[in-house]
Amino acid sequence: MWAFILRRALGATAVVFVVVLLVFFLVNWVGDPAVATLGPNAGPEQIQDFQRKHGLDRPLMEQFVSYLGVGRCARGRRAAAVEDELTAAIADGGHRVHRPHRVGETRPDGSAPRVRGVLRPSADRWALRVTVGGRTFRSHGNVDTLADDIADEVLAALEGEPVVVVERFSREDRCGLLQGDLGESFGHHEPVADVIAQRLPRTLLLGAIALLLELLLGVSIGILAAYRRNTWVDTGLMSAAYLGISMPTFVTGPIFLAVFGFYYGWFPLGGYGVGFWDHVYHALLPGFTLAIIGAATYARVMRSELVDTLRSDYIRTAAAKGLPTSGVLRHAVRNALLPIVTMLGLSLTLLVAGAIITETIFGWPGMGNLAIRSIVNLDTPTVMGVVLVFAVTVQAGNLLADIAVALLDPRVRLETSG
Amino acid sequence: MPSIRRSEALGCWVPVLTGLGLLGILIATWPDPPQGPRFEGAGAPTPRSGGTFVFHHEENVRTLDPHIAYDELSGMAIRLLFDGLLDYDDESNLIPSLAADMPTVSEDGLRFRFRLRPGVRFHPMPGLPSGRELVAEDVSWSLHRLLSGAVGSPGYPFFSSILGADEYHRGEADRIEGIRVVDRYTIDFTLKEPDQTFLNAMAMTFAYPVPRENYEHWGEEVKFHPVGTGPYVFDEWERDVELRFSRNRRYWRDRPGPDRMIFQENLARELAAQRFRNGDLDAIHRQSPSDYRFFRNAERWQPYLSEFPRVSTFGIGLNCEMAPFDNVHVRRAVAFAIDRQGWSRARSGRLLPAGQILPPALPGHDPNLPEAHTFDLDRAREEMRLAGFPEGIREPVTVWISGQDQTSTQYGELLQQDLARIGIQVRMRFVSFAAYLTESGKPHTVPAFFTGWNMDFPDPSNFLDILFHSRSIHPENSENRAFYRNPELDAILDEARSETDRHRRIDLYRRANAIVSRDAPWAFTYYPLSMEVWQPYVKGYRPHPVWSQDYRNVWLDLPRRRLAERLVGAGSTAPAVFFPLGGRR
Repeated sequence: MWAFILRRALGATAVVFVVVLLVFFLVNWVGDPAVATLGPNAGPEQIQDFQRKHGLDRPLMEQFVSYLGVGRCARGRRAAAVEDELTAAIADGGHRVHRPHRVGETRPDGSAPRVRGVLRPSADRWALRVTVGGRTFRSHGNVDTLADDIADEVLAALEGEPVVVVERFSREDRCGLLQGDLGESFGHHEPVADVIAQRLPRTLLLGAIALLLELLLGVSIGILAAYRRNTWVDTGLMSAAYLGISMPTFVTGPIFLAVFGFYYGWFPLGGYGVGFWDHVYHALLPGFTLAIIGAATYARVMRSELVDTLRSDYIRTAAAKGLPTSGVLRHAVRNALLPIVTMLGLSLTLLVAGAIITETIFGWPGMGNLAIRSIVNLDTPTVMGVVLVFAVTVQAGNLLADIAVALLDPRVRLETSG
Repeated sequence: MPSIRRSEALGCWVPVLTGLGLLGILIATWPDPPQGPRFEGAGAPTPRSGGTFVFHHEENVRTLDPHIAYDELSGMAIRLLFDGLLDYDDESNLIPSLAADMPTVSEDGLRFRFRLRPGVRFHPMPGLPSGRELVAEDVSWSLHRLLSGAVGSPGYPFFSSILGADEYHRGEADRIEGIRVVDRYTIDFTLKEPDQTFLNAMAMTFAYPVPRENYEHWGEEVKFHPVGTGPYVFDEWERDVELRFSRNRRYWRDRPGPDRMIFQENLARELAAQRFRNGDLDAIHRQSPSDYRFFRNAERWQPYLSEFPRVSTFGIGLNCEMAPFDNVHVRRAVAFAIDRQGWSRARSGRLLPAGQILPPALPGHDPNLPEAHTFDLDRAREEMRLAGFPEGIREPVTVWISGQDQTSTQYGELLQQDLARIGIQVRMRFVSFAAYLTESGKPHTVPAFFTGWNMDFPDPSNFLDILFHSRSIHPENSENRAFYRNPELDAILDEARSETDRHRRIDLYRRANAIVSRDAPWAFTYYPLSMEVWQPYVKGYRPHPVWSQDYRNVWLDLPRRRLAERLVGAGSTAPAVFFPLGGRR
């Protein structure tokens, strides 16, 4: 079983890597992100500055290597220069950084204030955090001016000690995908990881609500249809399910918005709201829109499984022995639910794909909305980050489905390890 | 299991009947959307403070750091939070804002002296709970930060005429030579060469003074913690959802306004229009075509609506270095062949026909310009004859347009029809906006393209210098995408840039404007019209000629009252109160 999971996981990783590779080159061939970010009024100077700052003036292959993070940490030439200078400064004991003060000494009592520098290569600027006795001072500047601005306050905090001790500069070494760094968003002017961290929970909330509605609606409709099979209840419900599968979200979404949001005013007209319950309220309509297709699919699977189960001998026996209808159904439903469980993993894929359209229609500020905006603005680091998250989600969903199937049905394991 | 089915034979009807019943109720109570405003004001005779003003934009605010922000909607927020030394009045004239007066200019036009208004305070910030006074040193520090290479502000080129700015930007100098603090409230700027657009640059959001302490406290995070001197104080920002501001009660200019402002971002224009009609949004701009037609025709909205040409110009760029447009007669033929009224009709009247680069709001625009581009097929054919193509051009020409939506396809078809009449076949090439910008900025690449220009500031130089001066031609990313070179025009523009006499200066731009129309590096097509609508209880708002969506002078006539609408067509007088869910009124 573990070999099976490992094999599947390796395959999934390979797929994610291929996706990253393809998307990186595709988005970079579309156009110049500097031009797209700065807009039509930007002159060549501004564009060159931007390209240099983000390392876009380097060959694409080189950019890809540093995006992956296999080479040295540097996104742009200028950032690389700053880094060199800083490395020298660190080797120096930070002398060049802390020019106004003697460096490398400890306080009389032997304690050393902690000094931490954080290098953000793409921003071409340093942030330095100095902690002295529980108080924190932040300094921002370039290599030459760093720490000048806080020197006096740090000195005061050291209670007159005319020494600032630089223990050592540690810098955040993470850069590149393999080191868990997704780069800096062009449009948002902040790390892609932060942008995604903000958006992902919102998409998860919408996805969770959609999944819940999907299961509730799908399973109950499926049971009802199977229970009343071959009556016109069954026909009606299954026709509705067909309709549900055939109606794409970009048709149902605007209709729901217009009818229930605008005409009736029962639901908010898009958006996200403020506060958790408001978020949930705002998620109901897009969640329902997103759930329709899944619910219809579940309903059909549930119905056919349940019909099969109800025909089986053990159910007939149970009914013949006088078990009440509810008891018969309980046994049958529990068995018929198995394929639904395995389908849950695949549902993730559909939810991710559906989120892109639904979030755009409803102005839900999640990952799908972010995907569209960053693609339009050619915010390549963000596009890459979003695609990565989607790819991992889909692969994880497939993997879970595989594992679930393998757990429930030993034949699958035998075949694949065959 | 027939037994199961029979025992609950009635039960199966319940959900079906319920569903049908619900559907029936839905159809029976199908409400009409509101045709006019839902609320009206209380009728206060004088401006008053209070209430919450809610406005929106469909994009996302990127930053609240004025040194970085270079887009319309970040600017909408930044103008509420910050003030500039200079500002624009309702007629696009520069007026003092944080400056006590307009600056004094030295004889040679090189030195500008600004006197600050005393007593202006920054908003509260970390470590300074009651803010502090704005002084000349802040102006100097802000501009140094703006122009430093490390910050990499896109606003830098607008200020490169300050003496020593380039050296400082490249890191070769410790400070900018041309910026000197004279005393607490006085600051001098010295330029490399006389440049009349410097004052426009000083009115841009880039030049808004910021307090150093706040930047040092927050570092990179300062874009989420703006502190300015403006009429509103920043409260909170739920990213991609909304920004909240409250009124600055210590504002140096004592004037009433809403106590709170909510800026909803990331709100699609269709949804915004629906929210607005429901009374949940106080002003809208940028409508979809169907919403535009609705408001244009909705009688009851007319008093609360304004439609005006934006300070932008659109046209067909014609590459003067590529055949057949290297021939001035072909370019002029194109200019005379475009049926601008027809285009306007096709776009439900949202375009104002354009015949010259300078839009009507700018000085230098000449309503009676003889060279202006108009629709005149006889002249177009005559120009084709002069160009040596009396029978038309056999080879089709490729015209680039960004986007491949309904709108761009429609424009493409309009151009194809118009140019077919003078024997020019047009092949449309649909590309992304970024691809259009990148490729059209390279020489000998794009023969013709749909293009346009939105001003950075309301001065003719911002159109003419950038779009048609030969200095704007580069191997890559040229702003002069038509690659039009004319020494005569260059000389006039250079002279105008440094001319201190306003009348002589405008006269020079008038001449430049005429030359550009005569030589037709663009076939000018239209100035876009904007429509803005606001609720009846929103007072003091009128679209600003320079700033888009400038809500600084708004006040709310509260409490707002619900307008009882009658049931449409039923003749009943059922008041709104019977339909609390917002259904029929």
